[in-house]
Amino acid sequence: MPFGAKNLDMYNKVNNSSKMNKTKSFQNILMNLQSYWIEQGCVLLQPYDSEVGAGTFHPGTVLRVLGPDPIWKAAYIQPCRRPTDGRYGENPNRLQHYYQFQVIIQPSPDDIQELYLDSLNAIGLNTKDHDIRFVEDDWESPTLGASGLGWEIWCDGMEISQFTYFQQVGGIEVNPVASEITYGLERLAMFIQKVENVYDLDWDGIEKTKGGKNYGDIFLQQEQEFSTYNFEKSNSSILLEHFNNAEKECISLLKDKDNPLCLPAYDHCIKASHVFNLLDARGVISVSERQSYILRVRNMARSCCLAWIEKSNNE
Amino acid sequence: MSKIDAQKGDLLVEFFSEEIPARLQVGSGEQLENLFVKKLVSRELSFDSCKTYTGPRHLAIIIRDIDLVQKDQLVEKRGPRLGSDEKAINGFLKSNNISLSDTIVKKTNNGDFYFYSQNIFGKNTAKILPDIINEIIFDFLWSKSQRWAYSDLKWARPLRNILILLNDEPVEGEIRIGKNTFLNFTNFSFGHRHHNQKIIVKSINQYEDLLKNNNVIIDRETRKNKILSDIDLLLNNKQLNLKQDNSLLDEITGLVEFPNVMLGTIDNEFMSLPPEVLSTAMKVHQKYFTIFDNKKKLAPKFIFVSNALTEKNRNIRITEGNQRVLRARLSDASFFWKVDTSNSLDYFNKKLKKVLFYDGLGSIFDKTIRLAKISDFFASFFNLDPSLAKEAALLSKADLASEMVGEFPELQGIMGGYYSKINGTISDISIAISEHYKPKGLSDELPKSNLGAVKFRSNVISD
Repeated sequence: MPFGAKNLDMYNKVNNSSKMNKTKSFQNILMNLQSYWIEQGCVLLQPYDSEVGAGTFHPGTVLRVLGPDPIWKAAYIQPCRRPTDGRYGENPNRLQHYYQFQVIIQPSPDDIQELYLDSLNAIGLNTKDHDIRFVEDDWESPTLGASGLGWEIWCDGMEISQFTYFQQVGGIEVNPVASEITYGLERLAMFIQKVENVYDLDWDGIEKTKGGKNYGDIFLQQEQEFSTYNFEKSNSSILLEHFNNAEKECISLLKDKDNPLCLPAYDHCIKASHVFNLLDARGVISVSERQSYILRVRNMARSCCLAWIEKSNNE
Repeated sequence: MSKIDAQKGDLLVEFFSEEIPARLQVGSGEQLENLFVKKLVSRELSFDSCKTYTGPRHLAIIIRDIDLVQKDQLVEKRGPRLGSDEKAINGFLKSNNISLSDTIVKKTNNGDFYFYSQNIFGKNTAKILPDIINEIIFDFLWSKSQRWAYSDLKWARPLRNILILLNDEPVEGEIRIGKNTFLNFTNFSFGHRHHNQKIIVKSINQYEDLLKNNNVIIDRETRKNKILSDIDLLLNNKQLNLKQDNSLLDEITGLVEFPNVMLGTIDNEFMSLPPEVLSTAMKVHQKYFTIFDNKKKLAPKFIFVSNALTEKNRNIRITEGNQRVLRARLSDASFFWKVDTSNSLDYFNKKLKKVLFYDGLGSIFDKTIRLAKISDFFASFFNLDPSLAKEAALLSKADLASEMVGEFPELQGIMGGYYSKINGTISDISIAISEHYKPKGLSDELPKSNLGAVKFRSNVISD
């Protein structure tokens, strides 16, 4: 498969026998987004290899925007787990596992909105053909102690991306301010492919009779099984233990003030956060307990951020 | 008075930024005017009138007949007391760069003092403007604001350009955004995103028209009226009427630079949902207007306002897109309706036992028990059956545990009314449940039924 956007056009001309324009398949939308942001000078990272609730959790965002190095540009796809959003594969729009494409650029460029709009053009969504709107949506992650101001971006009334100017992470001021763009890949692809059910999304642009796969072929069983697991089968006492262990480990890895292990510690913070989400989906966390769990994760995140800053200042 | 003192001209200042939240725009215009008036008055600059303009990205003010030169100011400075030692007197003279003959001695309540009346010649307004703009920017208070890149300056969203024309001439100057970062004053603005063009403004009187030609209706009232008159045009002869909603209209006016009003269709399969559900889903998530037919029944249509420039194919595409989004939203709502109506209010009440009302005040279910006691007490004053009042109270919060109210909190009460009816509860109770939050705010209707009124009172007391 060719990787450059230009080559891709040629590739599609040759392969016009497929059931649809290949540039509109899920995997090509992703590839074109990656190519576009590489061209803007981003480091192309891969997903973080642990369960996260949002692309923001990737250390490539949370930790990198802190510390003395003022310049950081990265892009990556990140599978996200939202256990409570599971619908046993029966809801056309909601998934407990979905993909975000994340772009983080520090300092925020003056033309970041234009860069974003161009990225839509690069994936076959001609912004001049549609009604694109920047609608106020301030963002806050209580578990990360992070917040920012920005918009959700509407295309003909559908939210296709989230745009945030990071003001704080781990309760620490982000300076210079970074801009974060998060594309909901399924939403975006549904819009581009004009599909109303996520499971009908064309993944590869290959005809079904020739072995082509759609989103449902790949993920339906996963959604069904994980919904059952998240809501009915997960073992709460094991999960609780996981949470406590992850917290313990996180704290202990930061103990050595001369050489705190920031990244392994943060890895455990992420794990704790996911376990909390699982417990929440299982319905075993009461309203008053909820707050204290969130606070515990936030404290872990903050300690990791502080250690990261301290360590990178000393380098 | 010299000739130049009499000179007056108009001033245009425009702050251009990324999209400012709709709810902040009106206030920002008012604040801009107040700050300008304050700064101009304090500098002895007189003017005739102000008009502000607010849109998603443009925040502007035109000040008519402002002095082009500041009036001369006589500033009286008090020096040391008569008979003070020489050091103090010399210090005063030196700091003002004057000799003793420039001073006069005046009596005050505290004794005699040296005074110096300094005549400060008025500066050109163009020279003072940079200071004024810098002060205004830093005095400006947004209820929520942000930094960007290296800025120390906070603005609702990143500030990208400042256009200033005085007497149709550009003004030199800059504002400080952060360490080593400045924004120079310019003589241009920007039109609609569709063209994304820099437009040079040569004449203040043509500012509004120039922007309009570039698809930005900068005047808020004009924009709002265009939305309303376009809605009228669209509904005319169709036997359809708009459900008036001023807060929605205001919000939409802040979301578009060049409103393009269009009519969409609601799929028939959703028309069996309660009208409040349809209306709320459309308003809250999508910012669509609800439409009634001539019998005041909700019509299978909605109005939405696009910011895209009108063109036949684009309009069709955008309408289809919006209809598709609405279908997804209403599918969700139908699902909630299906799930909720298959459960009883007792089932919801059981769930409420697990929902904390307020730390120390128990669960929401505990609250309904208190509510029932109070309703029982009040019922007798209104000649109502205490047992009905009690039962209505016990069921009143059940819908808080329903899926629909979870998604649309503004439907609390209303859903309870529907669900209790489906549960076979007697209609007096259903009506009381659906009305018991009324009035929501000063402009809402009062509950129509006595039972509803009692419930509202009890609600106030039990909180």
